[in-house]
Amino acid sequence: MAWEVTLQFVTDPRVFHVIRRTVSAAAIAEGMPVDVAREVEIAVGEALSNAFIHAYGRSAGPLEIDLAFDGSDFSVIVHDSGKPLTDRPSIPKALPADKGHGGRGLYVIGQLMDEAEVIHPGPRGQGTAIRMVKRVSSYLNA
Amino acid sequence: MEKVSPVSIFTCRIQEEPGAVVLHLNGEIDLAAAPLLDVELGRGLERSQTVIIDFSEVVYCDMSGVRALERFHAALGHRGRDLIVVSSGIIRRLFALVELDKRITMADTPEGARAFLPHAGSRLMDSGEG
Repeated sequence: MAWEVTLQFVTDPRVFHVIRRTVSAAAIAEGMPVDVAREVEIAVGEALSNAFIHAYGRSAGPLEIDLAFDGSDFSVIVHDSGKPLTDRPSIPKALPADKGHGGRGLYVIGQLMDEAEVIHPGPRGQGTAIRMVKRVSSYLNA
Repeated sequence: MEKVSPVSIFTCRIQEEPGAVVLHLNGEIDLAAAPLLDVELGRGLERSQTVIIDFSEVVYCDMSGVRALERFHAALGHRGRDLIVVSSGIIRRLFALVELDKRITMADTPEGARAFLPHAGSRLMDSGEG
């Protein structure tokens, strides 16, 4: 069964573990193996950290997560409403040097997910969004 | 010896043994836990020539934990001390993705880490990253 859910919350790192667990629990409920769901959990955690640090300068700001499952793909979009990122980062294909700009976190997201992209501005016309997809179907048919 | 973070998702237990101090981490290491991790790792800085950090009971770690490990590794390197990290599964995969395993000695289990101790005849990676 296909479904979509939107979670709304504020960038407070003390609640990020609740969000991560919610996402991974939803993925496991749709048939994703636990060890694969932990990859999704880390990718989502990096996206949350990214928003807290880069979009809101380590302060509180609104975040939304769109979770969706279409019977095959499990997708997560993390939307912030923060300042536009001037360097317009993308998902690096190779491990970047650590310059403190979150490049390594984006690289990790790209490696752990089947699809990942950074969208500027976000689909809602503001801020930045990170879209991540994991193909659950490959595990269901295995 | 055990401390609980304000959000109760991370703990650290310190175990002294001949030739090494072992920091057993437990729980989730993220942005919220990283400041406490820095404090806990600092407690192991001067205790022994070799520090073993055991991630066996860590169920979540992201780049916040990687950066804390890198800071600690550099601090140990300045003191001429050695670091061994115990990890497996998704945590080891994360460390490999950011090539931490090329800079820090990794073991699969605490027992495997002890095989690297000097009296066991093995050599550690150069920890002097600076």
